Amino acid sequence: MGTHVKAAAVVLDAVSKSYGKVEILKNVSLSITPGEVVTLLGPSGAGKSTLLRCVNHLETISAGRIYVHGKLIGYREEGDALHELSDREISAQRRSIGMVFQSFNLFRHMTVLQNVMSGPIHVLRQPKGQAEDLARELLAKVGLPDKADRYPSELSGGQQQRVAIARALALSPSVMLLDEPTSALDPELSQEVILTIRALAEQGYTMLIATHEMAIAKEFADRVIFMVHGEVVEDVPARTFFASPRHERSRQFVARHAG
Amino acid sequence: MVSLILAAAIRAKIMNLEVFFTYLTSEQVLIGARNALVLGTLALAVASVIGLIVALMRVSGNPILAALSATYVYFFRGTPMLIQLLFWFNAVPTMFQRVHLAIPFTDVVLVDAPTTAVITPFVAALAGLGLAEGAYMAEIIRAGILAVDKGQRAAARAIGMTEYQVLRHIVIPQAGRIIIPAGGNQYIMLLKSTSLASAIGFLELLRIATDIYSSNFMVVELLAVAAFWYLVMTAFATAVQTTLEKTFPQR
Repeated sequence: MGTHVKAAAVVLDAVSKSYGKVEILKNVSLSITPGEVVTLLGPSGAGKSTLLRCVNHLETISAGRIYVHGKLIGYREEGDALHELSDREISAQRRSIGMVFQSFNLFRHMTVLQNVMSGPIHVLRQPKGQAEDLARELLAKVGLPDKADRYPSELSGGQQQRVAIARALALSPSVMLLDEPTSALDPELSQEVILTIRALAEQGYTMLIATHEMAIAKEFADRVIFMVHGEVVEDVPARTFFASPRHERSRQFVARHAG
Repeated sequence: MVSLILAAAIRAKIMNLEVFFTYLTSEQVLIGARNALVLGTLALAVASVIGLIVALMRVSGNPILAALSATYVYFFRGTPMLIQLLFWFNAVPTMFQRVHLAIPFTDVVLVDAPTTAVITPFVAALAGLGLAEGAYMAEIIRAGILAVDKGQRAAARAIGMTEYQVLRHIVIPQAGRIIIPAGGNQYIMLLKSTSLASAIGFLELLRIATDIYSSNFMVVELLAVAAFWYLVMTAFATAVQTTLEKTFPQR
């Protein structure tokens, strides 16, 4: 393991992933330093979501290695062989990796407060009072202090996504993965979610964001990784990507989203 | 429709109302109704536990467990409940003369008795109804589990829940809400299916009614009495279902 692996927040080392004969990720390597905000851009089907789901082992990879803060994800290395970790070990690794989904996925049968408390209570086994204090604090942080006792179905999409962000933050993750956090929202509701994500960026959270939302990539991302057909085509500072995209596909992409 | 038939029967003097009311609240009939309610309710409890286990085996992803589960459902759903009741009551005691149950490696003997003494009509009826209904419940619970959105599970795993915790805190509570209406249906079916136990001599409602009318020939009145109490039980089951649906709404 090189020193860059130990120092980096997230490292993908020659990761491939296929479903049967279909290759979703082809030899993807990338590295994210702590505090960095990286957006994954690319057309639908480029493998952005799959990449994120591999980072917390919701999907298994076919080849390569993934490290989060120096720890190999999902496997134990013995000599040259990799052995998949047990359910318990994998869930322990996931605690420090926050994830936000396109479809929010708030637990439907729980109130907003219970959703945010679910990680601290069931996973970290914190006392209820402590978990509730933290949950209320986080709900205030995402601007929804008065929705604690509502059910997810009573909230707008934007509000649900902000609760989902609070739920992920409740575990004090060292890395946040956001999988198309605004794609299911209309522009107005997207805006409130983008502002929430931006606040996290300013607080120094390490984030890897798959998105179609140019505002995120342009306004506060440090870096853009542009993917096409499961391959990383460009991996450059965000400014560079929009000012002078090098590849044909990224030029087309930037031109189309220029407005 | 029932009330129309009853009214017609009373007008035509086919049914004697006085006899109907005398037996409606007679001690024997009330005991029969209670026995039916107890048997049906316990059978539902047994069936729910079996159903949950069999459903989890089916969705476990383990091919051996899934095959065992499918076989269970096929057998117990594929044979008439009446045959199963007769099997437990009549066939099992002839197959095994004596029941000997002990905790292994100790001297503790839990049961040691002739099989006929252990398998009373109640035990046979509970086993028969519970095991058969367990197969139906397994399919209902399985459908409930499959109806839980995949994203819910992904989100639970993502916050670091183990597979057991995902099941316990997310999948089962949500599947439970989904299956309440179907479960209420099965409860009503079971309450009425307790009448099958009359064939093995369990003193439930129908058995008591037929015993009485075979000596006094008040066939219409006693069947009406039995039907009345089944309707009361169905109303009770419906009320339980409605209360559960209100307490645990789907959101």
